[in-house]
Amino acid sequence: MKLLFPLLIAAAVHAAPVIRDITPHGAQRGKSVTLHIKGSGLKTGARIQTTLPASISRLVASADSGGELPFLITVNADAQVGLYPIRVLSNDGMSNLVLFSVGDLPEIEKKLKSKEDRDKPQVISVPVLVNGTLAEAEQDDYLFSVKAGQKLVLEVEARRAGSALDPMIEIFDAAGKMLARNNGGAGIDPRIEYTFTKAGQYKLRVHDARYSDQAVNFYRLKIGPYSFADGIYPLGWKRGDAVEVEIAGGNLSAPVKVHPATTSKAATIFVGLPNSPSLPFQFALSDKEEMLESGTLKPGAIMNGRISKPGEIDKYKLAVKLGEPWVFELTASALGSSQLDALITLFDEKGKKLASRDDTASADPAFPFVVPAGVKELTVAVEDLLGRGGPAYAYRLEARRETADFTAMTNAPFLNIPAGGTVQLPVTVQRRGYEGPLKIKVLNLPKGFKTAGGNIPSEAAAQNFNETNAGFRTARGVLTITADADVTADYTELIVAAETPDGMRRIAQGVGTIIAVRGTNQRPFTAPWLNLALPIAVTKPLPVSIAAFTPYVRFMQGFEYPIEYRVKGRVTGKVRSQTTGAVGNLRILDSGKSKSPDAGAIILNTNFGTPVTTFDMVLEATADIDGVPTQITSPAIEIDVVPGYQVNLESSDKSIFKGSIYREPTFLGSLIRLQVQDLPDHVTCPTVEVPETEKRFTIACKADTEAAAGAYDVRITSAAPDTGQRTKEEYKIADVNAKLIVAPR
Amino acid sequence: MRIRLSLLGLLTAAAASAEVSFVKDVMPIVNKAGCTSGPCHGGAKGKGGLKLSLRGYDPEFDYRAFLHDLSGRRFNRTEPANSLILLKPTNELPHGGGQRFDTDSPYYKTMLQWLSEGAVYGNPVAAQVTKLDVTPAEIFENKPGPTGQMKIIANYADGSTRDVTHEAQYSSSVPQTAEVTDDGLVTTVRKGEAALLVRYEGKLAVVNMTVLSGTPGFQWKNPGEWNFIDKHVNAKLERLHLAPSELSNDAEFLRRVSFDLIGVPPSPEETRAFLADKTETRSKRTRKIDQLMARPEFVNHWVVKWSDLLQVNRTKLGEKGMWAFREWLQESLTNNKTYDKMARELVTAKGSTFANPPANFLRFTREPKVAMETTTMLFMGVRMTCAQCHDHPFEQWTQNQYYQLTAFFGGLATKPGMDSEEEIVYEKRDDTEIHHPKDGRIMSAKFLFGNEKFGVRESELRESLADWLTSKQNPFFAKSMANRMFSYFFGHGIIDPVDDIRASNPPSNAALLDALTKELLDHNYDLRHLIRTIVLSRTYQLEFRTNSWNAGDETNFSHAVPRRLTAEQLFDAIYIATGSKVKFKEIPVESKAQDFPDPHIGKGGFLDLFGRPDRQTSCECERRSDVSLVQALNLLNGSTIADAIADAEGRIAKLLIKGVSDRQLVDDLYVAALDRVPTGAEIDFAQTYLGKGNRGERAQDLLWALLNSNAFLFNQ
Repeated sequence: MKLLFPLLIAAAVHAAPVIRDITPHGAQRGKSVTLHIKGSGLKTGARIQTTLPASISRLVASADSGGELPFLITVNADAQVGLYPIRVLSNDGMSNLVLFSVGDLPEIEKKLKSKEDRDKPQVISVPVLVNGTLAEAEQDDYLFSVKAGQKLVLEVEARRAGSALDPMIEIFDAAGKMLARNNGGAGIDPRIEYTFTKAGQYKLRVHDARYSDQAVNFYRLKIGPYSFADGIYPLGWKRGDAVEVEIAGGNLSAPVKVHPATTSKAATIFVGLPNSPSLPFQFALSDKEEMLESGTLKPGAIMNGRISKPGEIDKYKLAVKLGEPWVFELTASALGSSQLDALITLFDEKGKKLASRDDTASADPAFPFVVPAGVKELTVAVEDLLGRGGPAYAYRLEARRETADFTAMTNAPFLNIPAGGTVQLPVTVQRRGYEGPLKIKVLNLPKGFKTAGGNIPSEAAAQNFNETNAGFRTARGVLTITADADVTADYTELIVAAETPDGMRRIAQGVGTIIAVRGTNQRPFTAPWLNLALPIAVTKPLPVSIAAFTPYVRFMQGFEYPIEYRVKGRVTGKVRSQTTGAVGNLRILDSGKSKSPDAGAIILNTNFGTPVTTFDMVLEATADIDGVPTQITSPAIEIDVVPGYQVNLESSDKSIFKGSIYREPTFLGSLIRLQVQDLPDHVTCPTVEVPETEKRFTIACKADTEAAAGAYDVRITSAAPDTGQRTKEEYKIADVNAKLIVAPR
Repeated sequence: MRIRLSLLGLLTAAAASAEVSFVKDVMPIVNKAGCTSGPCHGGAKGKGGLKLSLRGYDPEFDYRAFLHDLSGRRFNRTEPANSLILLKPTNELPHGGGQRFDTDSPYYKTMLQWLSEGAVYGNPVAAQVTKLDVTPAEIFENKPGPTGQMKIIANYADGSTRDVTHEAQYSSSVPQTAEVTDDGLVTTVRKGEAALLVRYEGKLAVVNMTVLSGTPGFQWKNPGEWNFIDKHVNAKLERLHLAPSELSNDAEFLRRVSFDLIGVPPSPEETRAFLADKTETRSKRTRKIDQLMARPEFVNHWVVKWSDLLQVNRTKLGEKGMWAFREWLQESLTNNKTYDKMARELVTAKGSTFANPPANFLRFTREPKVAMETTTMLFMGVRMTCAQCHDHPFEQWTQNQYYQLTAFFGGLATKPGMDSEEEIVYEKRDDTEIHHPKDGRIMSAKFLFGNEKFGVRESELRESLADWLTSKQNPFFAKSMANRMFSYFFGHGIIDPVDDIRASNPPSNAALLDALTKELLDHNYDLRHLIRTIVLSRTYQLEFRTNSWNAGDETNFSHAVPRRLTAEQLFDAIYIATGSKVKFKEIPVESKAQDFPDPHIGKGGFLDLFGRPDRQTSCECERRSDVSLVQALNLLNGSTIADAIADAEGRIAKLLIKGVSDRQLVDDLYVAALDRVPTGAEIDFAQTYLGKGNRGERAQDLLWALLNSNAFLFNQ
């Protein structure tokens, strides 16, 4: 059986270390284990990079180890039960990240069986933690003995710990009768608490719920008489402030209160049940004011509430004004510490329903709301969509005055950048009212690195948003990072952000790791709760590169533009192009002219319907490097699609508008006609035609005696009746806003 | 009243009423003339520009169509006789439907009078037909041949009556047994049973008809009654002069009951032990039935049937949803969850399709109308689909009732869950109203019947529906399941198709169905008990061979009816007979075909060829039991049987390696394939064949021949 970690790494680089599996996947705190790291590029001398509270020593691999790296790990006795990232660093770069689980039960390994005793269950003694794997549709059976009346918790850690398995556990009595079955008592992982009325031997079966065949297929089966909880309250608190957290539900007879340290800079920390081998809960830290469930929402503060019993509806008052834009955002299930399927409903003072939103796109609800006329106070009601409630139904609710916002997330868990080479960093933004252009940036780019691209066009120009959650569209951009040939850098975490033209900035959340889950429509496992930014390392240079002749292209809508490139070294297959922002009315054509494998051109074809916007293009190719197909990429090329001409309004002297016209060199239109629109009554402005030979224009408007004095918003529209092209339609650009002043007589 | 046809004379039509109205006088003529039938103006788009309601279910609509459409051109007020309404059906103007009646007919005169009097619509309440009196109420003939006239009296809401014998519409459920003319003249053709259906203005009456063969010499010999099923079957057989077949032999019984209860044939060891057991037949069989019902395969087999009905299919439910739903079924059947509880859990389910698997029922139905139609079809055997567009042509269900019942699912909604492919079933807070398609009015939730007994709780609509659905007062819920269950053991239902229960599809043995229904009710919807009762009956254990008195009987359970093995049964039987192992991905090793969770496993192969359903509907009809040339070719030349026979670890290889004698080899292969020991002649023939060539290949030939025999391919 071969265990594989998928290579879902945006810029996997030839020869960089790759972890395909580790054994074991965890250890009991205070104990020592030999950790075997298996994969490729794992050269002697590579070291582990981890936050695991343990002493780690390199061991010498045996000659027949097949390149695996052994380490002696002694987990600190006071280590917190939980999951810790492990990766390998070497001179060839950094590996992917895997999770190592620290537990509190004695651990054993699943025994590998011969064909003859394939059907014989493995006998185990409880309490125990079994590290096992499931290949294809395998079913693992374990026999254990209990006393009459003994109560045990039987639980599996798998998906929560970064396995692609979705395990099912089933308990059978000696006669083969199924006594209990569970697939999701602990989030997506199963957990059963069972009281065995009769003494004797029982069988526990573990299998994947879909009998799927996963590359990352480990599980950690825990059996013992231990405590576990269902949820915590509150779900988060203000960084640095003291807080008492109630851990409740599960098999606890009474809630347990803990006081976690809140000094971490991370967005989340973990809060666990003391002296329990159960994995801890995520707890959010914010820099905002935090409140415990009370009757009134405070703008910008986070209200921590809980639906304590089935059918309960929490209601909050919020003072509002006509036309105010608000955003209501609730966090619960996304933290993994709450089972609330939240429904938020807004009512006015008379109890009339104004808006309602649940997490229709499977995230927690968040939606914009503009206060209508006659409403001065809102009632914000929070409930579970299915009418449930209890200790596991806590939430964090925020109401903030906002018109435009967005969030950002990096889509690559880490990057290995070849010296002198380029890699892509895809970033997804979720628009929350802000529809304009965005630029991805690295805020702490070390010396020796350059970035390019990172443009996300405005929503009007882009076509790739989805409408599943109205008002919250996603868009994707790509930033390329290029390392100088002589740069050296060890492990570094880049802070990536998306920014609006006027400086509103949001830091991109790191994805932590990405584990592929096989099957139809299966979402990968990610771990943003690791609170990693973007780890990067520099690797050896690649013998192949690709680059365009120019990093910046500016051309007029309606025209074609060839982007020429050059390839150094040999690539297999064609050079491909990708644009970010998916601009409408844009065609990308292969020029087909160059027969040289070292050079070529890609043609951008636009028409007058192509939006005026800025977007990026990257060129990609596959190179065979030492027999390994390796993707190479060019630095992003920034492409500006501009209008044929621009109207620059320089001044307006009461009722006279003066300005100039800038014509793109490629614009073939002759005269340009200007008109002032939205005029007040009794005011007229002449239509002005600016011939091809002229740049400047003056529009002198006249007001009759009946015209009312005042300042008026008007638009100056423009059009070129003759474009110089075959089309008979006028060419128009966006209107220019201006102010017309009618002076009093 | 039970009357002989030959005693009836030709009846005459009633006199026309003095004042002619559309609803009472004209609509029956329009319907009788066929104008409102599907192929004519009652079709979806009508004909020749005239659109009428199908079978005249909406007289108001039809009245408007005649008098107001085309700016009223169909009615000539100054010269009524020149109205298109009369010129077309009399073919005085070219009419695509030809002449429907002539100008001398009473129909013409009635319609002319109606137009001349100003084309009055009439009082729809007073003109409502409340009941049809049919004479004779039942027909019984000792031999084929006699003819006779039926007489139909319509009773109206205003207390009046009218002879509508000529205006009523007639059909026979079995024209080969009894024919009926447009005027209600009945002719018996051959022995058998038929239901004569009489329809008039939305009312339907059924006349059950029995024709004996007329062959002399029948003497009823009571074969004995092992339970109430035999009592009701025997009573019917005696009445119809049908002699039941003999009791099946032990081998036939064991094979049949194994397939029917656990979906797989008995193992060779099981067969030998059962045949060697000298216990009295009935006791031995009862013990075997109990043993089979205690096996895990019993649950697995019935999971397949429920999975078919509930469309357990990953394309509809996602992989995990499909597994979760199947496992819920398995748990429910293992714990013998009662039928009403299962139905309630399905109809009222909400939440995650993973955490609460019954919610998958509402995931695949998804939409209120489909949810309602599936619910009535599954749990009542009633097909409501037609009533979506018009009042049900063969039943009492109206379009209004369709949308009133749909309103119970008006709040049904689904949304994605946190896990991949997970869906959450919930009740919407807004937009829950169901609107009537004709006028957009909001339809309040209302049961099909019994509203006075069962209150509709607006805040718990689906729970209210479940109360009504599963109530012992609901005449359809238990009956439909009793009928469905019975059909699984006899190849056809007492009402057939089992999911099309309606007045116009009467049961072949109403007393039997009533008794089965009562048994299910008396035992609080315990399906295991019902199954056990059915297979313990002597009727179930009859042999398939017929005698001279029951050879043509297909509906009265006088003998077993050989049924082609289902796809899964056939597949598993092949692998059990050959000793080969099934190898498929995405299922635990050595799973049987009946353990396959959905049609994805082995898609496009042997199982689909032999009729495994895709599970796209909840209709029993989706599982095919036909026999085709392609199937025959696959059995003869396909790789499934050929590879299984030649499996290196299969039965033949092991027997040959073990060095068994030819006699033992033949014996083992017969028991493994046909679940019986071979006859002396079969042994002699097979041994001779084995001795004339390559023993291994000839043993394979022998098994191949057995697997291609009817005795293997059919459950008989």
